Amino acid sequence: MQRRHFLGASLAIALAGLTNTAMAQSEIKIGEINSYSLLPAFTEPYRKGWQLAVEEINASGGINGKKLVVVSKDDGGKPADAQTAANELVSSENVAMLAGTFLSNIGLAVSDFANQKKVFFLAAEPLTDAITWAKGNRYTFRLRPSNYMQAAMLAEAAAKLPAKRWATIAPNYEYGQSAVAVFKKLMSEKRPDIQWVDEQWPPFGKIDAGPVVQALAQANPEAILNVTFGADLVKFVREGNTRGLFKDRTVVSFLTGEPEYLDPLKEETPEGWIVTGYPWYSIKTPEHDAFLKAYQAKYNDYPRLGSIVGYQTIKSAAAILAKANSTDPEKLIAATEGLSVASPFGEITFRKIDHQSTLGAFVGKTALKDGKGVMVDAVYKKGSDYLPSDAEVEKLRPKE
Amino acid sequence: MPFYIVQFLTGLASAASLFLVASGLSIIFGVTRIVNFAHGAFYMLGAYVAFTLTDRFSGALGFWGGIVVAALIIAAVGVLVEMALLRRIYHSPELFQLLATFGLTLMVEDLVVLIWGPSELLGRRAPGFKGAVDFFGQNIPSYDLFLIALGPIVLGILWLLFQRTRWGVLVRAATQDRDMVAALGVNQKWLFTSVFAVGVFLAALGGALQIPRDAVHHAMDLRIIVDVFVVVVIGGLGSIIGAFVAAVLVSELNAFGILIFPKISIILVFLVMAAVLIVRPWGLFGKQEGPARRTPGLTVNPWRTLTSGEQLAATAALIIAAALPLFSGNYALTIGSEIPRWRACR
Amino acid sequence: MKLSVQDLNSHYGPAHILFDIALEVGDGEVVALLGRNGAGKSTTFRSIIGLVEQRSGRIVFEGKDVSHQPTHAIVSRGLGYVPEERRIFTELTVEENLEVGRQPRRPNAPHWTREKLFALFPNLGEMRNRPGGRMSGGEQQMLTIARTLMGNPSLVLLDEPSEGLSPKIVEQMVDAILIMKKEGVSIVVSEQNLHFAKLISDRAYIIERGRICFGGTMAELDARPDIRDAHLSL
Repeated sequence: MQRRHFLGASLAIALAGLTNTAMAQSEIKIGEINSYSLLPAFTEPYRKGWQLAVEEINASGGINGKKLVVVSKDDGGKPADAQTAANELVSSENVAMLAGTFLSNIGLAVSDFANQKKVFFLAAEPLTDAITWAKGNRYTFRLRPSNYMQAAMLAEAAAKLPAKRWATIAPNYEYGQSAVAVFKKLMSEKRPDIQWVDEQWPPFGKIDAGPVVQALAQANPEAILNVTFGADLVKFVREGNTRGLFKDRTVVSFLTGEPEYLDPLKEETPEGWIVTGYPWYSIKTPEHDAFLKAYQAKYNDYPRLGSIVGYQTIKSAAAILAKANSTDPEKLIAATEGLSVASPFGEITFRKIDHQSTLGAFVGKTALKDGKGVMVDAVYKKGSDYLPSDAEVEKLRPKE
Repeated sequence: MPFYIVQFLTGLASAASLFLVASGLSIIFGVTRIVNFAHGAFYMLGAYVAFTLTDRFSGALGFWGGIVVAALIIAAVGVLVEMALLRRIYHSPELFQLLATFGLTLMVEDLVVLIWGPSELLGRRAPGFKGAVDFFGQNIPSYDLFLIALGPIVLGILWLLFQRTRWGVLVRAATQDRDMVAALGVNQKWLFTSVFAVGVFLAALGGALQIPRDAVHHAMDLRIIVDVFVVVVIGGLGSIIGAFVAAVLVSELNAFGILIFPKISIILVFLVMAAVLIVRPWGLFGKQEGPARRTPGLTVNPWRTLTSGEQLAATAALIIAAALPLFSGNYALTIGSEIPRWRACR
Repeated sequence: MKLSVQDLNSHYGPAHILFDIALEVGDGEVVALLGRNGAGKSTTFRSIIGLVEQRSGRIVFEGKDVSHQPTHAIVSRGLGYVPEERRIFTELTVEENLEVGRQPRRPNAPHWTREKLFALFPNLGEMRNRPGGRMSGGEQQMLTIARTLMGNPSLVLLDEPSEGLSPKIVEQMVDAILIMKKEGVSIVVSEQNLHFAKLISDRAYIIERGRICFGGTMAELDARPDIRDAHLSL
């Protein structure tokens, strides 16, 4: 019984292998990696987003007549697993390019892999500035607006506040450290008069919110920069509300307006935080309407920012592959540099100078409406308006 | 000064849940010698079920009843797990037990995302404990005060349970010498099951009590289990008082660590654990294990040599696997190499 | 017939320890199981109450075949076991140790209460709240017997009760066993000490390398000095 079972399985694998080789001629594969099991709140809508994109692309003829296939892997939130997955995708699956990742440290790990193995990598979400600047390389491009860009958007509004005493709270890893550093730098340039009175660095996913909130309150800041998200944010907000931390203080917060992070706060949503995010309910452009309609029709659910990121990652990848009409990494790079593609937020461009896309973000304020958190007064900020000058970027990026 | 007092009290409040979960783990280990990695999963399930119950039933009764009923439901689930899974592996090597309970944890993680969805859930605030109390200009949540009181109460109840009931005497006896307890006519199976149920109840209660201050989400289990292991190791495996003292110690280290070393507060706890282990290798309240009292003749061999037929099948499988690159494509190879990896990792 | 054992074979892993053991104990009888160190006395007892997993044979206790029952089920039928190593719960007090052994009353066996046992072993009565770990060897031996008696057994397997005890304590032990006998408890006592066995036993078996090589009354054993010299070290 056991033996027959095994022989059957072996035969099935062998057959699958044969059919696979036969099919390979007519399709193009993208290898996709993300923290599916660790961060389902982001990655589930993200997956739906890219699946919608794949469906749309193949429905309209694929990539120069070839069918687009996305092979997806879970990195479990570990950089080493992400590199293993990348290696498998490249060596076993023969993917034309790598795409995806969420956490900044994982994005950097895959970027490093891409550089060493000379594989094209389109980073979807990781926000650290290092991925396009300090540790940038010619094989890596990034879709989402970086920490610098979001910090610049937020600092524009934050600098207008009267607050002089600032405190920060951020998860203690690459993303949080990078976000705090760049926000501090930009704010100090605009407002030399402000003071940084406290900083809290809870471990990612393990915030002990009571003591952290108490410590922040003790420093008595006039304004707070928050970079925590997910479960950490929920705990931080709850303790902050209970202990009155947010009373008479302005909070400037990365990503908090994204439905992934805002929706769980429900009736605890603090009002008046200045945030970046995605108010899908109040965007009225034809591009976004088309995306929203298609998404809701397919999933009977509203999109999160992850849906946009997943959708646009694959849409961009398809545009790159179509333009290059090749899977040679050098041709892909050449095709991507300066490429403009349509997105639900309007046309975006992948910059030649640092491989950053000009996808922007919405900046607005949080508000409580019918027991739910929403973003109000949201304005779309184009990514291209919040990047440093070319001369500065040249200095930030290592010479090749 | 009031700030430091409030910070101390906040630490105590965090200690309460940690103590509940850690004492449960400690009790289970003491009697069954199972290192129950799934303990965090029961904590998480307690929180999820409590979320659903308190969401469904309103009012103070709905809330407090929901918390207790959730813990009872998960304790019942624990009984099923013990009977279906753990009973089969009590005599297996520790690694098997760890793998089995770890596998359970992974299943539960996927299960809660399937049932409750991927987003963080926001539990109800506790009726009567929604606000904060002013303490010389510092705010301390009234729910924290409730938790601070709860810790010693649970400790007292556990102490009475173990010192003043026949069940407690049997459990303590079985902690030292399971076989002798059986040789005195006590059915260990049900003793183990009941111990497991009590341990799981404590974990689930610890999780359920977190819903007014935490986010309910699918990674709660791994977040707590590390802290719980640290607490149990510092306090001494099997010691409930030790779990209490260590939970307070760890929570206060966190509370004050962030004031002095905001970036490395998490390392501080491990440093203290290392220091304790150097000075007292069995933890603060742990006792040195006597030479294992096992009755000769009761050891089970978990490995069995294969029969010749099975050996043949295994050899054939190996040859086919080795020959795979000769006749199959990349896809088959990946899947083929995934299979052993999958068996090993998940 | 209280207990009848037939064709009892036991293994520890690959090692065959007991070979076709057969022994019988009558109602109210005290039977000695004599043999040198390592002859198989303790293994015989452990096999009877199911603490050795690899065993075969037929064990009939009070007319019921208990060969396939788990230890706790056999013991709770009234077959008490006092291990050679004593296995006191060192963390538990004297009273708590007795509590672990406590079982419901049995119609066909003498009923023991704490007070009755403290009368039998007066030393124990003076240290009711002392942890088992802080008692002398003799006190521990008394406690382990008292603990088993709390289960109101009709038969007790007593594994080397005189081992390592001072002559004065051994005397007390003899008295206690005789009282148990008088109360109506059947006893199988394993011993290397023939002198001690003679003081309490009606009959004796001699076990050597896992086989029973003699069975008879004490008088019959006395009449066979050759057997005594060949199988017992005096």
